[in-house]
Amino acid sequence: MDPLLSVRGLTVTFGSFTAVEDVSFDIHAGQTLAVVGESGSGKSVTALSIMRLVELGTRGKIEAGEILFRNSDGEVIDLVRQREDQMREIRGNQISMIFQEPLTSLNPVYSVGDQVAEAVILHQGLDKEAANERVLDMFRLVRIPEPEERMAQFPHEMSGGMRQRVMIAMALSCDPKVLIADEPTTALDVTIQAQILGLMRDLREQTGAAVLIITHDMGVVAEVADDVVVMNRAKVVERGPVTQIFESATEPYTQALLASVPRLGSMTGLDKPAPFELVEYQP
Amino acid sequence: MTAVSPEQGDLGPPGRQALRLFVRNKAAVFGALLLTAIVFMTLFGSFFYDQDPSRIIARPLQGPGEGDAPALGTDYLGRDVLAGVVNGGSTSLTVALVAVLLVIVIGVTIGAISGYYGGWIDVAFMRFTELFQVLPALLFAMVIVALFSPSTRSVAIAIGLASWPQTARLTRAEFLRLKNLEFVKAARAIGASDFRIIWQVIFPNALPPLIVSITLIMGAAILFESGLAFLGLGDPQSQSWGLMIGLSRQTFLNGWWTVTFPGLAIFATVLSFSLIGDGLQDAFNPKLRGR
Amino acid sequence: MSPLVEVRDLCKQFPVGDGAMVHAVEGVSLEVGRGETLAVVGESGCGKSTLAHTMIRLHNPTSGQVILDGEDISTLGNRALRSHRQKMQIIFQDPFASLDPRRPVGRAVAEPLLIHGKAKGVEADEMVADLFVKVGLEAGMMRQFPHQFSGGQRQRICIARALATNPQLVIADEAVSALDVSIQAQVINLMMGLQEELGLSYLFISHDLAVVERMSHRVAVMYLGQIVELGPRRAIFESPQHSYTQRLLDAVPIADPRIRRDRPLLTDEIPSPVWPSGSSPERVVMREVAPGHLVAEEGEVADRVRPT
Repeated sequence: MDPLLSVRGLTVTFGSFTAVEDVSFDIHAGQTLAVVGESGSGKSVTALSIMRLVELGTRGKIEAGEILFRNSDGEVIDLVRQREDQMREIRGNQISMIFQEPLTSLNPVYSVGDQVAEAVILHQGLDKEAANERVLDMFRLVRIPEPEERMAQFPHEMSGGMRQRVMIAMALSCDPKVLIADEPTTALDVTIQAQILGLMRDLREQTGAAVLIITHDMGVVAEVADDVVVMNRAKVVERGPVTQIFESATEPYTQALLASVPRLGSMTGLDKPAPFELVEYQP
Repeated sequence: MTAVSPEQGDLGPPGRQALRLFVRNKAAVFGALLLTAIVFMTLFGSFFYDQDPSRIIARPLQGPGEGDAPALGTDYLGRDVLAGVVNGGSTSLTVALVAVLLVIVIGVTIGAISGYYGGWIDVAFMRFTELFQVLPALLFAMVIVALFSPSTRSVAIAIGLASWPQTARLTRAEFLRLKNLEFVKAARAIGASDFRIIWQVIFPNALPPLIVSITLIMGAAILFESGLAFLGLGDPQSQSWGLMIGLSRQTFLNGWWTVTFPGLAIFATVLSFSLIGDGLQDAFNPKLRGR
Repeated sequence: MSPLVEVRDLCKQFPVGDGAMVHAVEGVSLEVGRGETLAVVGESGCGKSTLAHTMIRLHNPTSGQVILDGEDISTLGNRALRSHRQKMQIIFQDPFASLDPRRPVGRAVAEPLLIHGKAKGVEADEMVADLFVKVGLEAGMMRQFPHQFSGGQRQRICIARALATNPQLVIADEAVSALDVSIQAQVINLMMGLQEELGLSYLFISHDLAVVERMSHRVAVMYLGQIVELGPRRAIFESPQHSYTQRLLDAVPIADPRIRRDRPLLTDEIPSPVWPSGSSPERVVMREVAPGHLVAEEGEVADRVRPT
């Protein structure tokens, strides 16, 4: 099957610094791809490049590569070559994104219902009333309790988990084909993270959207990903199906990374604490 | 870990919280009441005290309570000082209001575009702003008023042109801070245009410090107008507190009331704006929010 | 042998206006043995950091006692407290924020030595150099500035600073949470090695259960300011008794794709620790289910209705 989104040879620079170098991967409809790496590996810049948000307000520049996207008309377009006004039609509509910090990714001066309605009005040309109906449906979809009352609330009146649900509702409000989630659960408590991961898994099955999840957390990768791309220092180190990466990684970097991941249950039966058995990795 | 309760209950929109904090501040409420009283006096004072401030009604330079003098005495021509105080506010307040509107339009637009786009646009706009900033404001305003004939409009424009750079810099600083926050990124990610991001996403968040600053500029503009009028650069046709003081400066040793009462009016107006500004500053301070 | 630190019925409340109080820590009792790591786990707002900060007297306790090496330090004045401060040190989450950017890092490490009059001049320099080596850095690095180090190296510097006064207890407040996993593992290994070498006790505050399982001897689970389960690590991880502990453990994503947990699509959240004036939370009753394994009776904290 043809991929929905295909990143080929992507290179992004910030001045003389290369943040992403020759990165390629494919995402298929209904599939979850995890891009995993440590800080500074270039994983977030890759995500922002797909949205074409790296060039705005920063010195970021897509130097080379193409990002081929099969849009809703079935046409394959190169996102790198789209004009800003064409990208605006795609962003939030066909490809949408959620961010790490659910408090700061909502505008503090508007109610959450109005913010989600904005996104709907912007892309679907609905009137205010129809947009509010849509928002209510979306709030129910992401299982926000008492959705009618919640719509009138402001971001600071909600907990982190509820805010992230609002962000997900906003991202899904226009039925996107690709959802990019940049560290969506990193700022959340572990029980709330579990709820959001469950929700994202459930929604992917319901909507059939492709999900690109950016994370540093191998536990999250193991839990949600079908395929994994491991990044280190701007480059793709290894890629493959999730079981292959976890069980038979071939690259030394991936092996070193996995060796340093604390795994719940790995100490079962041991009476004393034990240090990690680390794998030496020299870049 | 400080206690961040997951849900803080119904706090309402941020503006309403600020209002609640504002009304708890006694000095600020006093300022607001004082200003209301001054505005009321300016708008409706002539209904209650129907006296033409430009008419000569009694012998000149009579103090309050002397002879046939009105309540606050007469000036060097025999005009009613109380009538002058009651009517003089309209020029001061109109000039300040128009000047501040001009400050907002120029300052916020330049600051917002400069801060949002950055790069060479920012450099060009900021150099332009500095050009205005290094000119001595009073001198600059005097030149403008002198170029056009002194009138309420030219005075307002002069004050506005001399005062906007501060607002532009403040707006720019706020935009620089806000444009990198995630909700701005999120707005881009849903496909919002630059225009929409500037005015509907960032601008409302930049409002609190701007409102504080505009309030203080309003007070400063009143002082500015009075200063120009004192120097004889006001509209000679209209009554104004500054003009009253300016015209009476030769005679104030013989009649303290001719300058004291318009002076008090200026003082009260500027004070009310300062108190309101301080109160708003505290009300918008996020550290006090939610208490 | 008596425990190194004993906390008895410690309470810490913060006012939040209108007479309401955050009951951040509510009647916590625990012990930290010599050479032992006690981990305190819980989600944000559960009071675990406030507990640590109150123990080390960064806050004054509302009530209760902290007994360090046989002496109650919870009511000591500032001067008397000072000599005890040497025995307890704290490492924070953000190593960058806790180092002065304009001073060479060696000075930061030497500071506790100078404050407590342990050494000065050349002698202090030598001790700092030793500490640098001990935490896996080169002695020559002491003349560099914080921005010249990576996050992991900066945390090593903070550990060196904490060790400068030869403390018996080191409180690690989410000390490895901000680090990348490979760095985190190295720092954890370093901390465990230092414990072995110096006989340190750790109070390890963390939200990360997998890390806690790796490095602790005993574990305390906190919820809404109170301990709901306390016991040996194996007991907590292999047979958790309290429903909140079980929920916490079930929520942890495991780095093994063959184990994919069913995620119930819950929306419940942690209630607020804010109590209006005049009311206060009900205290849990602990019972011992196995030697050293204490569990709160259910239906008290976990099920209570949110007060505000």
